Amino acid sequence: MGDIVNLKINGKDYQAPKGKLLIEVCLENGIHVPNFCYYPDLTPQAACRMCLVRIEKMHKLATSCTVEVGEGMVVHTETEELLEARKGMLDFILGNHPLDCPVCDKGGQCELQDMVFEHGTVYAHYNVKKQATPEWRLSPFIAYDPQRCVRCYRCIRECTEVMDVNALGKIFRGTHEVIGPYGLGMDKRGMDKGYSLDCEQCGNCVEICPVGALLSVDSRFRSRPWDMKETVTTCTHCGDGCQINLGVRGNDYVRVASKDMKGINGEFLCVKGRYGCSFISSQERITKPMIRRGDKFEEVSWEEALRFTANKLKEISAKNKDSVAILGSPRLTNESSFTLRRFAEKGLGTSNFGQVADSDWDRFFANLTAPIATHNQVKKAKNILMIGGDATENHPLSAMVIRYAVRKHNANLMVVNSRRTKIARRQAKLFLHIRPESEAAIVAAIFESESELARLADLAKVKVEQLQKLREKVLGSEELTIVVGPEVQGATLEAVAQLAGFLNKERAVNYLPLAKYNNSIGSVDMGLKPNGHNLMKAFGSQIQALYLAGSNPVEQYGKDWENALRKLSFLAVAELFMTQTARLADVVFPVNSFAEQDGTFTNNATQVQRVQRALEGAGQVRPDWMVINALAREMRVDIGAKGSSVSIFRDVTAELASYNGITYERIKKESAVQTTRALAQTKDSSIICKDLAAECSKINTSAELNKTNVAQGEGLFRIGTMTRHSPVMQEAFGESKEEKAETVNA
Amino acid sequence: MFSPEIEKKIDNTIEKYPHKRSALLPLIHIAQNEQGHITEEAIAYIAERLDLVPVEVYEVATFYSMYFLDPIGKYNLQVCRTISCMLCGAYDLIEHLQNKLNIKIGQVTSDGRFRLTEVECLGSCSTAPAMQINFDYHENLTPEKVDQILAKLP
Amino acid sequence: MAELKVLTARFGTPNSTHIDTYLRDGGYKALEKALKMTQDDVINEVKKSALRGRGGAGFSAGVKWSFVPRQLNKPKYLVCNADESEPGTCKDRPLMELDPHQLIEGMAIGSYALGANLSFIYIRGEYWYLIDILEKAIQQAKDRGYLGKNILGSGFDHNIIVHPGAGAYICGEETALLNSLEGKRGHPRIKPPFPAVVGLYGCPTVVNNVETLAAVPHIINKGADWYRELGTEKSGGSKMFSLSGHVNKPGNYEVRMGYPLMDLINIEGAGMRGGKKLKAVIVGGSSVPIINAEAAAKCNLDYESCQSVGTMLGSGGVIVMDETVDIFETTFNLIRFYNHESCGWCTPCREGTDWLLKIFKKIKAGMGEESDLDLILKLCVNIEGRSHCPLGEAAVWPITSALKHFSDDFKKHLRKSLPVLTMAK
Ligand SMILES: Cc1cc2nc3c(=O)[nH]c(=O)nc-3n(C[C@H](O)[C@H](O)[C@H](O)COP(=O)(O)O)c2cc1C
Ligand code: SF4
Ligand code: SF4
Ligand code: SF4
Ligand code: SF4
Ligand code: FES
Ligand code: FES
Repeated sequence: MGDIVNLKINGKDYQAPKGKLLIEVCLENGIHVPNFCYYPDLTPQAACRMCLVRIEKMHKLATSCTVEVGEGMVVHTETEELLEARKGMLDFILGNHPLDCPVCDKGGQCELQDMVFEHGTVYAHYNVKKQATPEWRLSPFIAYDPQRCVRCYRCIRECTEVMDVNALGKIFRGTHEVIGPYGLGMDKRGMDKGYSLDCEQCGNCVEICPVGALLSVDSRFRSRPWDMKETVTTCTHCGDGCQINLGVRGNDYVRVASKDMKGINGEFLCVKGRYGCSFISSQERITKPMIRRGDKFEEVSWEEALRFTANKLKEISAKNKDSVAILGSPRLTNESSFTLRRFAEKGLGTSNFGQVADSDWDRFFANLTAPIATHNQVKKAKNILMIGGDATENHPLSAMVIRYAVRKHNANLMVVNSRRTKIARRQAKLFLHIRPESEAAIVAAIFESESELARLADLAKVKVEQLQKLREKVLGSEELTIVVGPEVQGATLEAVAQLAGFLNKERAVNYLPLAKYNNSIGSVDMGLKPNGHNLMKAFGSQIQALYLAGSNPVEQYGKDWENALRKLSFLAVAELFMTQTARLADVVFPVNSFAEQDGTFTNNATQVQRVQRALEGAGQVRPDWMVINALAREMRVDIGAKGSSVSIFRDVTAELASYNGITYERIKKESAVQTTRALAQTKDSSIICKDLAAECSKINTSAELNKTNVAQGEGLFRIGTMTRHSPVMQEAFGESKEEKAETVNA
Repeated sequence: MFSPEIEKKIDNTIEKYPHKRSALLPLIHIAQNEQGHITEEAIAYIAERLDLVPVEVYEVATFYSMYFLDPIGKYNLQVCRTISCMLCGAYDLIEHLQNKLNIKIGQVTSDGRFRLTEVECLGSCSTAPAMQINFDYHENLTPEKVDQILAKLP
Repeated sequence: MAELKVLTARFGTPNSTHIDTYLRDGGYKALEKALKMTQDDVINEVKKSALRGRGGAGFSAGVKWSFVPRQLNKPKYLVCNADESEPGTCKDRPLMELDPHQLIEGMAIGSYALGANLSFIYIRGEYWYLIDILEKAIQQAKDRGYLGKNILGSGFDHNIIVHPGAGAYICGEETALLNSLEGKRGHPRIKPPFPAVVGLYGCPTVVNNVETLAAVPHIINKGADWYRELGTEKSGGSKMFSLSGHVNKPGNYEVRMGYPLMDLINIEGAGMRGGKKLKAVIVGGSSVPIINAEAAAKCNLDYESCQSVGTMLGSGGVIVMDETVDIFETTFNLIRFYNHESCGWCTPCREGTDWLLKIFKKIKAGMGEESDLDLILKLCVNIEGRSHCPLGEAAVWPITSALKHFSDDFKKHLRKSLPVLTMAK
């Protein structure tokens, strides 16, 4: 496809694909054309009129953001006439603009400011009164200053086209036009309505606003962009692993932005990534080691805490090595997870180690028969089969790339889910709304012969024609991307991993596992199996001591865990906060958050990305791996401890084939480096069918369909161990005081 | 939320169009004619009927000058202020009405009977000056004629 | 009297809106005839008639129809532009009020030529009372088989929907109109693609003014040559003019194309009101440059002649101003209009009209200076040719022309002595 055309810009010859926007050809070739309303991938507007160019044979100046290049086009972008036109347009934009750059949050990072500098002094002849419109606070996260707004409508298109939320619109007409949510400016009542922006609060509209019109309330007035240090690092709120620019002033969190655009997420972030990171500067962080004395915790020195723990572990381990257990979490860095495993294996010699998680990704990778798709590859997918998962709520970046595939290339999206998720309702071409926990039946329908369809459809409570259609599409697609959600587990998940092999390998199949946590996959790679729930059953019997890092199972899984933990004779917890779990410990180690350490995470696309230190931890916090190293030293066991995250990572890459060849330098250059996985043998389909039949027999056929739509924010706005300590998240979505008290007492 | 006849009218309007969003302007008219102005309930109702989100209805409701988001009184006196009417005395007429009703443009009399609205060309330029009271045209106006018209209103 | 009765022939007829009187006067014969012609023949006949769009732009109707890709496997639509909001223009209103069937017949013929089975009349919301008249007429036409399925046994289906606007001058612009008809805000679309290819609901669509479509039955009935010869070589036929302002007999008059402007004022309009002297005329609705009495004397009412005296025929709204008029005031009135009606989409129009209005207010308040007049012209340059749709330019032309011909009217509002501090420039 794609004819190439020849064109002339400012006297020089260029070639470009036919139909490409002229402005894109210019920008890609380093020819600067000022613009506001143009934005990559959003529909063209021709609104701001900054990008005017002269195209020969056209009688008027043309907007380069809407003109497609054609053969023989002769374009001028730098004539006297155009400079005048741009100055004139800037004049108009600045007319009603307050020019309060010194107090504007965008000052220093503002496209308008840049443009004014670039064009020299603009006439200061706006000799009439500026419109004065008050600022509106749209939500706990976002404010809007209409006076600074240049009406480029990027925000509206971002919200409608990229986010599919459609929360913003143009309100009023002409000179009075503003952008905003429903209800804004609804006479006096509008103001009283208070927060009216009913949306995902992703802040992407703020991010792409070229000026300081849309603002993050969270970071306002905290710092000027230039006295803030920014570090590129990886978000810890879900498995997608967006790259964030973490802004810090002194040693305090200021804000998260995504303006770097070089990461897997471009400028995209979700509410948690953008506004949920301030927990790192929470006053409630634990800053000193603590030892339990009766009902109380007492702050002690590191030496004392380590000595105490080392003695306990040695004492218990002396009788039986396996009576000490080590549990990590899908949140810790690869470096810490790796060190934990080494400590367990080499230091303690226990076979009871793993992590607290409810997923079977180890089994998935053991059966994987096709490569993993990166988010960028998903954007280009033609056919997508999505089994389980609610990406919109729990994997916002994945959701965005799936929507992108549908929006831009009309991808054929097929969704199998027991919930009416937003993607199923809005983007799916085919939606099989199944009975809870009946995914096995649908997967079986692909492997089994056609004669089984009616029975399997019945099991999942879907129409047989629908199931037939899905099966045909899956069997017939030349290319297929399989997205699999975290609730798909066990033999069903193994079967999904085998599907590519079953469909036969020449076909371009790839997978995107929706792993829940920021390092679900990395921690499994490092050898921490998600076996915590099994080990928990032995607490108080075979297992007497536990070292638990980065997990809060009491809050997550409730009473069973609390009771089990209470049965232990010794519990050490490494944590950021005094969680419900930490409260049960005998010793608590204060550890670094992701923002205070170096390391790596492996995201759900199996890409390794960097975690970089943006600020110093408060008090005496240390990275998890360093605590383990110190503990090993205290116990006088050799675990081959390495003194820095770089050297630990070198050990990782030496030991694990799939991490071979990955270095910090390479990640720095490429932003994300995908691991290379050996693919599993394709099993005989009769074996898979047998396993699936066993899974199918567990389906509760009296379970009804869950007919309610997944509500906006169900996952996104859920307050967890970390977001609880982000003030703005707490304000917006937090438990009321009473609820909070209840959880504490519970 | 409307009477059965109005609901019927709404159904018919939606059905008429090849794409139902086209019914948006007519539906806002219907709701406004029923309720006097556009209420939040009406916006929610219309959005639901047309598979839109409220902001999409709101965007449209705030764009067109015939839609009112606040109560507009029993009689909305919409006086044309544009050039042909201006040449034929529209400014005097507006002045006259402001004094007579003791309200400014955009205001509603305290008894809720009249709202005074300035509008742009009504398409009565050859019979200027002109005014619309709700939907009724009154043309070739003079202050005296306006007095008579207002006096006759029920 | 040079007044011509083609479109207006039935205006005096009692019960003229009823289909019975329309049929009695030879109505729907043109439709019958057209249905027996090929679609191309109908289009060619209209092309040949030199009928040019009466909505303002004056584009050949037949040529526009021929742009529609009829072979495309998508519905086609014809939309009648009855948004009539151009200040000074009120000619479409009597065409719909007094002879709705003439329009319906024209639309039926046009739709047949385009292969459109559904057409719309987008009527400005203020003309609420006309909706009823039009819908009744449509119902009558349906009852008699001129609308609906298989019209007159031809196999052609056609229906008309009357769609009310809600108060927005910009919705007269054809692509803003289509957005509005789709239930959106009336912002103009990016062109190309043009509506003839990608229009309503993304389908090929022709937008024509009421008067344009009302002329079609006559062209089919009496032939293209007959029609063209009513007017001039390049501007065929007759045209309605809305005469308003300072004449003794304002009103809507139908005259041949090329009719002298002064005759319209002096004969149809019965001369200047109160015997005053003519000062200025806006010939084509408020969006065209204003001309002085001298130019008016040389102006004939056709596209070419108007252009030769520095203005445009536009929509045919002839606004007449006598010697008592302060052109600063009328220009102020118009910039306020355009600012009020700017849709807000693009920078130059949204911000430019606002700024201009503020300067006019300043001058009106007696605070204006000589430099403000230069600034006005500079802002006009920044708008003209750079806005997203023609409204921006329409806002500018009345101002630049007024400043050119009537600068004294502006200067007399300026403040005499210069203030101590001048603005840095
Ligand atoms: C700002 C603006 C307002 C317009 N208003 C009208 C109008 O009220 N009626 C109309 O028929 N055409 C109007 N037009 C012209 C239309 O865009 C379009 O050219 C016309 O409807 C085509 O029909 P015609 O070819 O039959 O004239 C307007 C154009 C602009 C730019
Ligand atoms: S925060 Fe996100 S969802 Fe909310 S309005 Fe902005 S773009 Fe839309
Ligand atoms: S708020 Fe920002 S992004 Fe939105 S229209 Fe205004 S300037 Fe553009
Ligand atoms: S999508 Fe996931 S990784 Fe990206 S910002 Fe949101 S929580 Fe963080
Ligand atoms: S010129 Fe005016 S009316 Fe036209 S698009 Fe721009 S703002 Fe809207
Ligand atoms: S960037 Fe082209 S008009 Fe705004
Ligand atoms: S100017 Fe008042 S009706 Fe046209």
